[in-house]
Amino acid sequence: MKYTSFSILLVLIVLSSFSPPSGYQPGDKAKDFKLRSVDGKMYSLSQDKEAKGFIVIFTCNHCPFSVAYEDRILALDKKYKTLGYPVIAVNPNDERIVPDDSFDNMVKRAKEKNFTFPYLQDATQYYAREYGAQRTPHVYVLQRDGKELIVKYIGAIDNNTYNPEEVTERYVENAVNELVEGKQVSVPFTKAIGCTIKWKKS
Amino acid sequence: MATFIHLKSMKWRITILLMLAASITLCGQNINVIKLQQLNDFLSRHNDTTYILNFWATWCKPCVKELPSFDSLYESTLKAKVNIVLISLDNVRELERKVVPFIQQKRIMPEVLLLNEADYNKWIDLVEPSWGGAIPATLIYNHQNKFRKFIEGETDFKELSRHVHSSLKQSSERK
Repeated sequence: MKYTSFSILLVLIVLSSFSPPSGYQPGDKAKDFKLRSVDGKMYSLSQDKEAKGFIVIFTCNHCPFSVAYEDRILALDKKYKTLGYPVIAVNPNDERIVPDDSFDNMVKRAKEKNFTFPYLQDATQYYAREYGAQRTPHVYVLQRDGKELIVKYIGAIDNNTYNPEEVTERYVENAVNELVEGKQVSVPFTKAIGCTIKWKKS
Repeated sequence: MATFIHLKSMKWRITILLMLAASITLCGQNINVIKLQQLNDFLSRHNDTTYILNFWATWCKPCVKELPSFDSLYESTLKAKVNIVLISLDNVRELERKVVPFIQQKRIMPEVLLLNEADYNKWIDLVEPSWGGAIPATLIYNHQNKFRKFIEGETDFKELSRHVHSSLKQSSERK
Protein backbone atom coordinates (compact mmCIF):
# COMPACT_ATOMS: atom_id res chain seq x y z
CA MET A 1 0.00 0.00 0.00
CA LYS A 2 2.80 2.34 1.00
CA TYR A 3 4.55 1.39 -2.20
CA THR A 4 1.44 2.10 -4.27
CA SER A 5 0.94 5.57 -2.83
CA PHE A 6 4.63 6.25 -3.32
CA SER A 7 4.42 5.23 -7.00
CA ILE A 8 1.35 7.41 -7.46
CA LEU A 9 3.22 10.30 -5.89
CA LEU A 10 6.20 9.62 -8.10
CA VAL A 11 4.02 9.56 -11.22
CA LEU A 12 2.41 12.84 -10.12
CA ILE A 13 5.80 14.48 -9.57
CA VAL A 14 7.04 13.31 -12.97
CA LEU A 15 3.78 14.45 -14.57
CA SER A 16 3.88 17.89 -12.99
CA SER A 17 7.49 18.42 -13.99
CA PHE A 18 6.67 17.56 -17.58
CA SER A 19 5.37 20.49 -19.59
CA PRO A 20 3.42 19.54 -22.70
CA PRO A 21 4.85 21.10 -25.86
CA SER A 22 1.90 23.24 -26.91
CA GLY A 23 -1.84 23.55 -27.03
CA TYR A 24 -4.45 24.21 -24.38
CA GLN A 25 -4.52 23.17 -20.76
CA PRO A 26 -7.68 23.05 -18.67
CA GLY A 27 -8.42 26.64 -17.62
CA ASP A 28 -7.12 28.21 -20.85
CA LYS A 29 -9.22 30.40 -23.13
CA ALA A 30 -10.20 28.61 -26.32
CA LYS A 31 -10.29 30.24 -29.72
CA ASP A 32 -13.55 30.34 -31.61
CA PHE A 33 -13.31 28.87 -35.07
CA LYS A 34 -14.82 29.41 -38.45
CA LEU A 35 -14.88 26.21 -40.46
CA ARG A 36 -16.95 24.61 -43.19
CA SER A 37 -19.44 22.00 -42.03
CA VAL A 38 -20.80 19.06 -44.00
CA ASP A 39 -23.90 21.13 -44.95
CA GLY A 40 -21.55 23.44 -46.87
CA LYS A 41 -22.07 26.37 -44.46
CA MET A 42 -19.42 28.02 -42.34
CA TYR A 43 -19.80 27.38 -38.63
CA SER A 44 -18.41 29.23 -35.63
CA LEU A 45 -19.00 28.69 -31.92
CA SER A 46 -20.09 32.30 -31.37
CA GLN A 47 -23.10 31.90 -33.65
CA ASP A 48 -24.76 29.55 -31.14
CA LYS A 49 -25.96 32.17 -28.67
CA GLU A 50 -27.95 29.70 -26.56
CA ALA A 51 -25.11 27.33 -25.79
CA LYS A 52 -23.56 27.36 -22.33
CA GLY A 53 -20.58 25.55 -23.73
CA PHE A 54 -19.49 23.00 -26.29
CA ILE A 55 -18.19 19.46 -26.53
CA VAL A 56 -15.57 19.92 -29.25
CA ILE A 57 -14.39 16.56 -30.58
CA PHE A 58 -11.47 16.24 -32.98
CA THR A 59 -12.41 13.08 -34.85
CA CYS A 60 -12.41 11.66 -38.35
CA ASN A 61 -13.85 9.07 -40.74
CA HIS A 62 -11.08 6.54 -41.08
CA CYS A 63 -9.71 5.93 -37.57
CA PRO A 64 -11.16 2.76 -36.00
CA PHE A 65 -11.18 4.49 -32.60
CA SER A 66 -13.27 7.33 -33.99
CA VAL A 67 -15.61 4.88 -35.67
CA ALA A 68 -15.92 2.91 -32.41
CA TYR A 69 -17.04 6.12 -30.70
CA GLU A 70 -19.49 7.40 -33.35
CA ASP A 71 -22.61 6.12 -31.60
CA ARG A 72 -21.40 7.42 -28.25
CA ILE A 73 -20.70 10.83 -29.81
CA LEU A 74 -24.26 10.87 -31.17
CA ALA A 75 -25.56 9.95 -27.70
CA LEU A 76 -23.51 12.75 -26.11
CA ASP A 77 -25.01 15.28 -28.52
CA LYS A 78 -28.53 14.00 -27.90
CA LYS A 79 -28.14 14.15 -24.13
CA TYR A 80 -26.24 17.41 -23.74
CA LYS A 81 -27.57 19.61 -26.55
CA THR A 82 -30.73 20.19 -24.54
CA LEU A 83 -28.61 20.99 -21.46
CA GLY A 84 -26.71 23.65 -23.42
CA TYR A 85 -23.61 21.68 -24.39
CA PRO A 86 -23.88 20.54 -28.02
CA VAL A 87 -21.27 18.41 -29.77
CA ILE A 88 -19.11 20.02 -32.46
CA ALA A 89 -17.04 17.48 -34.43
CA VAL A 90 -13.90 18.66 -36.22
CA ASN A 91 -11.92 16.57 -38.69
CA PRO A 92 -8.29 17.78 -38.74
CA ASN A 93 -6.73 15.13 -41.00
CA ASP A 94 -4.98 15.99 -44.24
CA GLU A 95 -7.15 14.46 -46.94
CA ARG A 96 -4.14 14.02 -49.20
CA ILE A 97 -2.69 11.57 -46.68
CA VAL A 98 -6.02 9.93 -45.84
CA PRO A 99 -8.47 10.20 -48.76
CA ASP A 100 -11.17 8.66 -46.50
CA ASP A 101 -11.12 11.95 -44.61
CA SER A 102 -11.86 14.17 -47.63
CA PHE A 103 -14.70 16.68 -47.34
CA ASP A 104 -16.89 14.60 -49.69
CA ASN A 105 -16.34 11.51 -47.57
CA MET A 106 -17.18 13.51 -44.43
CA VAL A 107 -20.48 14.54 -46.04
CA LYS A 108 -21.13 10.90 -46.89
CA ARG A 109 -20.34 9.61 -43.39
CA ALA A 110 -22.46 12.31 -41.73
CA LYS A 111 -25.42 11.23 -43.91
CA GLU A 112 -24.89 7.51 -43.28
CA LYS A 113 -24.78 7.96 -39.52
CA ASN A 114 -27.33 10.81 -39.38
CA PHE A 115 -24.99 13.14 -37.51
CA THR A 116 -27.08 15.56 -35.45
CA PHE A 117 -24.11 17.91 -34.93
CA PRO A 118 -21.89 20.04 -37.18
CA TYR A 119 -19.01 18.07 -38.68
CA LEU A 120 -16.35 20.59 -39.64
CA GLN A 121 -13.24 20.27 -41.76
CA ASP A 122 -10.13 21.88 -40.29
CA ALA A 123 -8.52 21.95 -43.71
CA THR A 124 -5.53 24.09 -42.69
CA GLN A 125 -5.14 22.19 -39.37
CA TYR A 126 -4.82 25.59 -37.70
CA TYR A 127 -7.33 24.81 -34.94
CA ALA A 128 -6.03 21.33 -34.18
CA ARG A 129 -2.60 22.92 -33.64
CA GLU A 130 -4.02 25.83 -31.67
CA TYR A 131 -5.99 23.49 -29.37
CA GLY A 132 -3.11 21.01 -29.16
CA ALA A 133 -5.12 18.05 -30.41
CA GLN A 134 -2.91 15.03 -31.11
CA ARG A 135 -5.23 12.16 -31.76
CA THR A 136 -8.68 11.20 -32.92
CA PRO A 137 -10.93 11.23 -31.05
CA HIS A 138 -9.66 13.99 -28.76
CA VAL A 139 -12.21 15.93 -26.73
CA TYR A 140 -12.21 19.54 -25.49
CA VAL A 141 -15.14 20.51 -23.25
CA LEU A 142 -15.57 24.29 -23.31
CA GLN A 143 -17.69 26.48 -21.04
CA ARG A 144 -18.89 29.92 -21.97
CA ASP A 145 -17.89 32.68 -19.57
CA GLY A 146 -19.26 35.98 -20.89
CA LYS A 147 -17.61 36.35 -24.27
CA GLU A 148 -14.88 33.85 -23.51
CA LEU A 149 -14.77 30.10 -23.92
CA ILE A 150 -12.85 28.35 -21.17
CA VAL A 151 -11.37 24.85 -21.56
CA LYS A 152 -12.76 22.66 -18.77
CA TYR A 153 -11.80 19.17 -19.86
CA ILE A 154 -9.29 17.64 -22.29
CA GLY A 155 -8.97 13.97 -23.13
CA ALA A 156 -10.79 10.76 -23.83
CA ILE A 157 -14.54 10.20 -24.05
CA ASP A 158 -14.54 7.29 -21.59
CA ASN A 159 -12.30 4.49 -20.41
CA ASN A 160 -13.15 1.69 -22.82
CA THR A 161 -12.93 2.25 -26.55
CA TYR A 162 -13.71 -1.24 -27.78
CA ASN A 163 -16.49 -2.30 -25.41
CA PRO A 164 -19.01 0.43 -24.59
CA GLU A 165 -20.78 -1.94 -22.21
CA GLU A 166 -17.63 -2.28 -20.10
CA VAL A 167 -17.12 1.45 -19.61
CA THR A 168 -16.71 2.39 -15.94
CA GLU A 169 -15.59 6.04 -16.26
CA ARG A 170 -17.52 8.42 -18.50
CA TYR A 171 -15.04 11.30 -18.48
CA VAL A 172 -16.87 13.66 -20.83
CA GLU A 173 -20.29 12.99 -19.32
CA ASN A 174 -18.93 13.46 -15.80
CA ALA A 175 -17.25 16.73 -16.78
CA VAL A 176 -20.35 18.17 -18.47
CA ASN A 177 -22.62 16.97 -15.65
CA GLU A 178 -20.41 18.81 -13.17
CA LEU A 179 -20.49 21.97 -15.31
CA VAL A 180 -24.28 21.77 -15.61
CA GLU A 181 -24.50 21.47 -11.82
CA GLY A 182 -22.24 24.50 -11.41
CA LYS A 183 -19.38 22.44 -9.99
CA GLN A 184 -15.69 22.29 -10.82
CA VAL A 185 -14.68 19.48 -13.15
CA SER A 186 -13.08 16.87 -10.91
CA VAL A 187 -11.12 15.09 -13.67
CA PRO A 188 -10.10 17.85 -16.11
CA PHE A 189 -7.49 15.85 -18.03
CA THR A 190 -7.11 12.28 -19.27
CA LYS A 191 -4.96 10.56 -21.84
CA ALA A 192 -6.21 8.23 -24.50
CA ILE A 193 -4.74 6.17 -27.24
CA GLY A 194 -6.05 6.93 -30.67
CA CYS A 195 -4.92 7.50 -34.23
CA THR A 196 -2.41 10.28 -34.68
CA ILE A 197 -3.71 13.32 -36.49
CA LYS A 198 -2.40 13.11 -40.03
CA TRP A 199 -0.46 16.36 -40.32
CA LYS A 200 0.30 17.90 -43.68
CA LYS A 201 3.77 17.21 -44.89
CA SER A 202 5.64 20.51 -44.96
CA MET B 1 13.08 -57.50 -41.67
CA ALA B 2 15.74 -55.37 -40.08
CA THR B 3 15.69 -53.06 -43.10
CA PHE B 4 11.94 -52.81 -42.81
CA ILE B 5 12.14 -51.80 -39.17
CA HIS B 6 14.83 -49.34 -40.04
CA LEU B 7 12.67 -47.82 -42.77
CA LYS B 8 9.76 -47.70 -40.43
CA SER B 9 11.75 -45.91 -37.78
CA MET B 10 13.06 -43.53 -40.44
CA LYS B 11 9.48 -42.78 -41.37
CA TRP B 12 8.73 -42.20 -37.74
CA ARG B 13 11.72 -39.96 -37.35
CA ILE B 14 10.62 -37.90 -40.32
CA THR B 15 7.10 -37.71 -38.96
CA ILE B 16 8.37 -36.61 -35.55
CA LEU B 17 10.68 -34.08 -37.17
CA LEU B 18 7.81 -32.72 -39.25
CA MET B 19 5.61 -32.49 -36.18
CA LEU B 20 8.35 -30.71 -34.29
CA ALA B 21 8.85 -28.26 -37.12
CA ALA B 22 5.14 -27.61 -37.29
CA SER B 23 4.90 -26.99 -33.57
CA ILE B 24 7.87 -24.62 -33.67
CA THR B 25 6.21 -22.66 -36.47
CA LEU B 26 2.97 -22.58 -34.50
CA CYS B 27 4.81 -21.42 -31.39
CA GLY B 28 6.20 -18.50 -33.35
CA GLN B 29 2.71 -17.42 -34.27
CA ASN B 30 1.28 -17.71 -30.81
CA ILE B 31 0.22 -14.38 -29.31
CA ASN B 32 -0.15 -14.18 -25.57
CA VAL B 33 -2.73 -11.84 -24.12
CA ILE B 34 -1.36 -9.86 -21.19
CA LYS B 35 -2.79 -7.56 -18.54
CA LEU B 36 -1.35 -4.62 -16.65
CA GLN B 37 0.49 -6.90 -14.21
CA GLN B 38 2.56 -8.55 -16.94
CA LEU B 39 3.28 -5.19 -18.57
CA ASN B 40 4.52 -3.97 -15.21
CA ASP B 41 6.72 -7.05 -14.90
CA PHE B 42 8.35 -6.16 -18.19
CA LEU B 43 8.85 -2.55 -17.21
CA SER B 44 10.48 -3.40 -13.91
CA ARG B 45 12.92 -6.13 -14.99
CA HIS B 46 16.21 -5.22 -13.45
CA ASN B 47 18.76 -7.00 -15.60
CA ASP B 48 21.30 -6.29 -18.28
CA THR B 49 18.92 -6.89 -21.18
CA THR B 50 18.00 -4.03 -23.48
CA TYR B 51 14.24 -4.16 -23.98
CA ILE B 52 12.48 -2.67 -26.95
CA LEU B 53 8.73 -2.38 -26.41
CA ASN B 54 6.79 -1.27 -29.43
CA PHE B 55 3.12 -0.34 -29.03
CA TRP B 56 1.20 -0.89 -32.23
CA ALA B 57 -2.10 -2.10 -33.73
CA THR B 58 -3.10 -3.74 -37.00
CA TRP B 59 -5.37 -0.77 -37.79
CA CYS B 60 -2.57 1.76 -37.34
CA LYS B 61 -0.95 2.38 -40.73
CA PRO B 62 2.30 3.99 -39.56
CA CYS B 63 2.69 1.12 -37.05
CA VAL B 64 2.33 -1.51 -39.76
CA LYS B 65 4.73 0.41 -41.96
CA GLU B 66 7.51 0.32 -39.37
CA LEU B 67 7.12 -3.35 -38.36
CA PRO B 68 9.76 -4.57 -40.85
CA SER B 69 12.29 -2.34 -39.03
CA PHE B 70 11.71 -4.39 -35.87
CA ASP B 71 12.19 -7.56 -37.89
CA SER B 72 15.53 -6.28 -39.18
CA LEU B 73 16.51 -5.21 -35.67
CA TYR B 74 15.61 -8.68 -34.41
CA GLU B 75 17.85 -10.31 -37.00
CA SER B 76 20.75 -7.94 -36.38
CA THR B 77 20.66 -8.35 -32.59
CA LEU B 78 20.11 -12.11 -32.33
CA LYS B 79 23.35 -12.63 -30.45
CA ALA B 80 23.06 -9.59 -28.20
CA LYS B 81 21.19 -9.23 -24.90
CA VAL B 82 18.25 -7.63 -26.64
CA ASN B 83 14.59 -8.45 -26.26
CA ILE B 84 12.11 -7.02 -28.74
CA VAL B 85 8.42 -7.20 -27.83
CA LEU B 86 5.64 -5.94 -30.07
CA ILE B 87 2.68 -5.06 -27.89
CA SER B 88 -0.55 -4.96 -29.87
CA LEU B 89 -3.33 -2.69 -28.67
CA ASP B 90 -5.88 -4.35 -30.93
CA ASN B 91 -9.24 -5.36 -29.56
CA VAL B 92 -8.81 -8.73 -27.83
CA ARG B 93 -11.97 -9.87 -29.63
CA GLU B 94 -10.11 -9.54 -32.91
CA LEU B 95 -7.12 -11.62 -31.81
CA GLU B 96 -7.97 -14.75 -33.79
CA ARG B 97 -9.73 -13.07 -36.68
CA LYS B 98 -7.31 -10.23 -37.32
CA VAL B 99 -4.10 -10.13 -35.27
CA VAL B 100 -3.01 -13.79 -35.60
CA PRO B 101 -3.52 -13.96 -39.41
CA PHE B 102 -1.76 -10.60 -39.75
CA ILE B 103 1.31 -11.81 -37.85
CA GLN B 104 1.34 -15.07 -39.82
CA GLN B 105 1.04 -13.35 -43.14
CA LYS B 106 3.74 -10.79 -42.38
CA ARG B 107 5.99 -13.47 -40.81
CA ILE B 108 6.83 -11.22 -37.90
CA MET B 109 9.83 -12.60 -35.99
CA PRO B 110 9.89 -10.78 -32.61
CA GLU B 111 7.56 -11.78 -29.80
CA VAL B 112 4.04 -10.37 -30.11
CA LEU B 113 1.77 -9.79 -27.11
CA LEU B 114 -1.69 -8.28 -26.97
CA LEU B 115 -2.28 -5.92 -24.07
CA ASN B 116 -5.88 -6.31 -22.99
CA GLU B 117 -6.22 -3.18 -20.86
CA ALA B 118 -8.84 -0.87 -22.32
CA ASP B 119 -8.42 1.80 -19.64
CA TYR B 120 -5.35 3.56 -21.01
CA ASN B 121 -5.18 6.04 -18.18
CA LYS B 122 -4.34 3.16 -15.88
CA TRP B 123 -1.09 2.26 -17.59
CA ILE B 124 0.05 4.81 -20.15
CA ASP B 125 2.01 6.88 -17.59
CA LEU B 126 3.68 3.75 -16.27
CA VAL B 127 5.26 3.25 -19.68
CA GLU B 128 6.24 6.89 -20.11
CA PRO B 129 4.76 10.00 -18.45
CA SER B 130 5.40 12.15 -21.52
CA TRP B 131 3.49 9.78 -23.80
CA GLY B 132 0.49 11.63 -25.18
CA GLY B 133 -1.23 8.45 -26.29
CA ALA B 134 -0.50 8.23 -29.98
CA ILE B 135 0.79 5.03 -31.56
CA PRO B 136 3.22 3.87 -32.76
CA ALA B 137 5.26 4.40 -29.63
CA THR B 138 8.53 2.67 -28.76
CA LEU B 139 10.35 2.42 -25.46
CA ILE B 140 13.97 1.26 -25.34
CA TYR B 141 15.42 0.66 -21.90
CA ASN B 142 17.99 -1.23 -19.91
CA HIS B 143 17.51 -0.84 -16.17
CA GLN B 144 21.02 -1.93 -15.32
CA ASN B 145 22.95 0.46 -17.54
CA LYS B 146 20.22 3.14 -17.15
CA PHE B 147 19.73 3.57 -20.89
CA ARG B 148 16.28 4.91 -21.74
CA LYS B 149 14.76 6.32 -24.90
CA PHE B 150 11.10 6.89 -25.71
CA ILE B 151 9.95 7.49 -29.29
CA GLU B 152 6.36 8.65 -29.85
CA GLY B 153 5.56 8.33 -33.52
CA GLU B 154 7.22 6.53 -36.38
CA THR B 155 10.74 5.23 -36.20
CA ASP B 156 13.00 3.23 -38.54
CA PHE B 157 15.73 0.62 -38.45
CA LYS B 158 18.52 3.21 -38.44
CA GLU B 159 17.16 5.06 -35.41
CA LEU B 160 16.34 1.86 -33.51
CA SER B 161 19.72 0.39 -34.28
CA ARG B 162 21.50 3.54 -33.12
CA HIS B 163 19.73 3.53 -29.74
CA VAL B 164 20.17 -0.19 -29.19
CA HIS B 165 23.87 0.10 -29.92
CA SER B 166 24.23 3.02 -27.51
CA SER B 167 22.62 0.86 -24.85
CA LEU B 168 24.84 -2.15 -25.62
CA LYS B 169 27.90 0.10 -25.57
CA GLN B 170 26.88 1.48 -22.18
CA SER B 171 26.60 -2.10 -20.92
CA SER B 172 30.02 -3.13 -22.18
CA GLU B 173 31.64 -0.01 -20.71
CA ARG B 174 30.33 -0.94 -17.27
CA LYS B 175 32.09 -4.27 -17.38
